[in-house]
Amino acid sequence: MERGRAMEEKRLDRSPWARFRADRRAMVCLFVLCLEILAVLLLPSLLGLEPNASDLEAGFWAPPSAEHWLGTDDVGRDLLARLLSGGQVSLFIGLSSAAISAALGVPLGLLAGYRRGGWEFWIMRLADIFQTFPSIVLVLCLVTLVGPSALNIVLVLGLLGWTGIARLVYGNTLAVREQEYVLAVRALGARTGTILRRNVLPNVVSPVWCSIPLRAGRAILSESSLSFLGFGIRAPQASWGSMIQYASNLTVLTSRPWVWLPPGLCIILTVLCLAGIGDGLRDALDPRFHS
Amino acid sequence: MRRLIALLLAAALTLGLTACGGEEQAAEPVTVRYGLSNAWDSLMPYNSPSGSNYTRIICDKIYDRLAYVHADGTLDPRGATGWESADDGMAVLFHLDEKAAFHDGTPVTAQHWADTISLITDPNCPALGRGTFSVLAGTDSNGCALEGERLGVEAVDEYTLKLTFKSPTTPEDFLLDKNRELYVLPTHLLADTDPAEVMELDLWDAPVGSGPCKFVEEIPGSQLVLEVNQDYQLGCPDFDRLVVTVIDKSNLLPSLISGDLDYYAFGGNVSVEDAETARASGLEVAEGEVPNTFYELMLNCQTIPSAQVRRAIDLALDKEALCLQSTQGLGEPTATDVTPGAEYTCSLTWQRDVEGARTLLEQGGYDGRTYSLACTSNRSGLAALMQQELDEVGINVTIETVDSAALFSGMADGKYDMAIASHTPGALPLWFTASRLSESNNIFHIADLEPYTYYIDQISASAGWEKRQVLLDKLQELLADQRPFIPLWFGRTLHVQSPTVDNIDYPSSSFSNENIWAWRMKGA
Repeated sequence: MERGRAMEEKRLDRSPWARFRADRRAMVCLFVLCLEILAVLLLPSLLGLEPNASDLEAGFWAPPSAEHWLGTDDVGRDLLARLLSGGQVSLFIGLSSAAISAALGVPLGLLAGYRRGGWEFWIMRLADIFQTFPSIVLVLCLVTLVGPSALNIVLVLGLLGWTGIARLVYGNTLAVREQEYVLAVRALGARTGTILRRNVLPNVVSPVWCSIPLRAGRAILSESSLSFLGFGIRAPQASWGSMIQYASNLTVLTSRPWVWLPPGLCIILTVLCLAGIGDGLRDALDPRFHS
Repeated sequence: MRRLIALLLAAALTLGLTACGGEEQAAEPVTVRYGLSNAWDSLMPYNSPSGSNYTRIICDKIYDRLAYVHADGTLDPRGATGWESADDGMAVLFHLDEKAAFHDGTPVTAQHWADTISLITDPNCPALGRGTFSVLAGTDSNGCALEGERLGVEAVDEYTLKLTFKSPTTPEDFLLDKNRELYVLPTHLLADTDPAEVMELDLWDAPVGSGPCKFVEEIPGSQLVLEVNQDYQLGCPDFDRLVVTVIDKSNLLPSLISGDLDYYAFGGNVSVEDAETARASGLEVAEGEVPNTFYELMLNCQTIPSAQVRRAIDLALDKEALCLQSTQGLGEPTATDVTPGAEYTCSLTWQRDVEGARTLLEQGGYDGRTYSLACTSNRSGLAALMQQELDEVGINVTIETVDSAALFSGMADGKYDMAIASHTPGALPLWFTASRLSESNNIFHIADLEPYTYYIDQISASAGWEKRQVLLDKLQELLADQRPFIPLWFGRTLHVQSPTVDNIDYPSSSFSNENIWAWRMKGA
């Protein structure tokens, strides 16, 4: 009993990275995600795969073979090459849009929570307005307006995803701004920017680190939904979502599982890994969670 | 005693409810559930912004037309029982069916047809699609009646309609070309209406026509409930209601298999691979014998001004592979828009020539610019294949995936350099070129239409197959030399047979008419 408590205390005393490493599930998720990223970045060039070239000799909708491990699509393109190339796009969309959401949500949440008054009213009402619309409908409208490309989807998903992060930071800032150390710094005449950067931000940001992987996973799913609805990235570029779109055809769904199963599994795996990493970060960064 | 009264009351209530239920069951209408992948945009046939087949196939039910056009180009009587040429081929007399009546009981007369055409060609009437009437005497190229000139429509007597044309026209040519856009309106209900305000009437929200079905109710863009017109002159089917529901294209076949639909337009069309799924689910599939799709690559001659570059694009495309990808073996690549199997022929042949394409590109001074290729999302694979083939000869292309309306408006506005489009082919020699190579619809942005319109006018004005064929050959040579558009292939289709309804003329559905009056419930 004593030994267990001592070990737990020792664990809490360690750095966040050491605490994260101690979480076996989070480490497995991180390992799998890194492996996935390396695979989508390196395998196409290592295996000499060309995602947009048709192999007319293999034919359209060819089943898996030695030449095409995952078969070919409706235009005779290698499905493995498209899975890897699609992974680059999907992961880029997921991670970049989460970064944009955080870059917007953190300062807005800080300002709303610390300055309160007009800042609080306008920023939080804006967040309310954004959250009033069904997100997929809003995303669909905006993507239709700006045109479907990977960059535009990143921007739309990133710009619309700030509200959750802002609310998280806002709530924590409301609590932290009344802490004695913040009041003391303010009494000493420190500028707002300095207080926010040095005293408030470090104490409210840990849940954001946890929400970023989850946000990235949600963005990958949103891109998949957009692609499934035909509003995804521009042809002939592939994404996991656009590959799953083939499953909307009854024949493909029922008799060609090799076409839609791999991208589906990749999405599930990635989202699970991101969720696992998020949980691990929460455990490692948030001291209150341990107490 | 109290218990006895309660028992009697309960028995009476039960009997009453049973009787009500029985009555309800007896009154339940026999319904045919009809699927459509896109919504109609108007129930007023001359007010459809898209002019799409989806609107036409709905208006086909509510309003009557002069004839019924079969997929093979043969004609059957419908609003007219017969037709004949008059005035040395400059006019056609239509003998109308005396049994035809509007849904409010008013008989359909030649005056209704004449008044309909007069109304729609009235320049003050904001009608859409009146270009159909531009072939009539007394109209301009947009189909508007010319002031001071006599309009080429006349009610000779109560049941004889006379149409007079600008150039000699046979009844068959006119009907094959225009029948699907010519409906009779209930003009007796429009007598005191200003033509400028006719489209604003509430009448079009609950329209009265003289077609085989009567309007019951509509959820715009989603569902339309129609009732069978028991008094239709060609007869009526043995069901009571037709409920048209808009269902995503990918769900049409699953809905038919699951029993949620009895039939879907157009003609239960299905791809080769989906046909296997349909057969495996116990549905019958029949192969269409007549080409019902024509694919073309539209070109913008303003942004691709060199005929050599346009010909290079033609030579660079592997139409065989494109056709196979799209039709899965149910199509034939083509070098012309002349429909195979029709009365008129074209001897031009197609062959891919990558080296020839490269030479033509050099001669045409292609500067390496990137062209935009527009397509609908279901053709993005086709576009990707084209992109690879064009890349092989050095032509750079980016693909823009847009909806059908944006594709055509984008081509008309000059936004795109190329676009993939498909059409329902016709048996007439000018079925495609007459509408595409005109001042009112210069969608290929051709700087000088005169060389084309010269041949088109000559063919229209010529009587006799031989003379027309010679002129048609010359027009096709000109098109092959200038290549304002690239004919790709003619495709046939497979039709999934309805598991519940018999006597459907599946192939003719592609030509925007359905013989609904002849449909019969299986096992009825």
